[in-house]
Amino acid sequence: MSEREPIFDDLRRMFEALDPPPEHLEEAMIAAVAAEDLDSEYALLSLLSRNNELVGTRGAGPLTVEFAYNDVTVLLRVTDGPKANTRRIDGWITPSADGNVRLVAGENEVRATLRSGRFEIESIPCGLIRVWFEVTGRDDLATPTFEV
Amino acid sequence: MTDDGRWIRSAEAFDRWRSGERGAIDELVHEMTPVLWHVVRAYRLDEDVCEDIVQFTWLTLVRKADSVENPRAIAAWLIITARRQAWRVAARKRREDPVDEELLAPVLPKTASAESVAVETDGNHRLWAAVSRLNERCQRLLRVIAFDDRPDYEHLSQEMGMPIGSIGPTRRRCLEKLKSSMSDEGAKP
Repeated sequence: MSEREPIFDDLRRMFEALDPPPEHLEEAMIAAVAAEDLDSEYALLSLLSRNNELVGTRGAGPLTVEFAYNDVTVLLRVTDGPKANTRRIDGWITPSADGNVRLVAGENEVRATLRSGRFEIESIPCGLIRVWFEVTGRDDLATPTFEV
Repeated sequence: MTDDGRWIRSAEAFDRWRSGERGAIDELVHEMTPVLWHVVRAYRLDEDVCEDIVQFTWLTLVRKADSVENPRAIAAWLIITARRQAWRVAARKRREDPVDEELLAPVLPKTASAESVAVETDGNHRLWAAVSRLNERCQRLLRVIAFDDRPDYEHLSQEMGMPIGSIGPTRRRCLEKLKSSMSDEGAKP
């Protein structure tokens, strides 16, 4: 019933073949949907960029991850933690604010204080994490799930 | 080939999920995640950012499912949500980093080189190359329409800063350019 020109079917097959979604994507989305906490009210931060400062595989070497929601920007610098397979996170939120940070990594939860827009978490297991911000005088914020 | 099957299966899964069948959303994710991926990639954002936008779309659905006015059109709702977010992120990146090389560099196909596969793949690579020679607006329009039989012209017109009435003619011009780009290439020795 579509009146579409047939070349769009060729285009579709071409994009499916040459730029397919990452293999883990579907499973990751199912997990993200299942883990969503419907009882909490928050604004969802969007990923703006994710860069390894040094050339290397994902998770190795310093990693900078930047998120935003309206005028709020969150910058995370991820480095190797004190033990194997751990990460240290230094974070900055602008405009500067005080409050609390809650980082969820699987079953683990780590808390930190947000002071003048800065926080640090010395050690978390590497893998998929999500970070929540309870910011004094503003809406709570949360990152999506992402890998460190 | 139309993709009505996917749209119908998505609407059914969404209906069942809203009436309490918790696992049904997994079926919806299965149907629509690949489509959302391709629609978001049309905005020439890198893979990590595209993944995040797809996740944003699903979390928005879970949180705002009650606000979906027409459950029959859930596929369109998901696509528009993803496109709006992709547009916002792309616009912000451009503003903050006007010469962001990620946005300027042609996106390269990530699959293995052509010689490892047969003629079909060669056709795909030729088509990819022809699309890459089009301007950004054409590239986005063609990829969005390739994955969305019934694209929402109203939002496309806002994004592209052109009247709704111009999208049909633009679509035709983009296809003509694509065809001539392919035949120019085919004419080379």
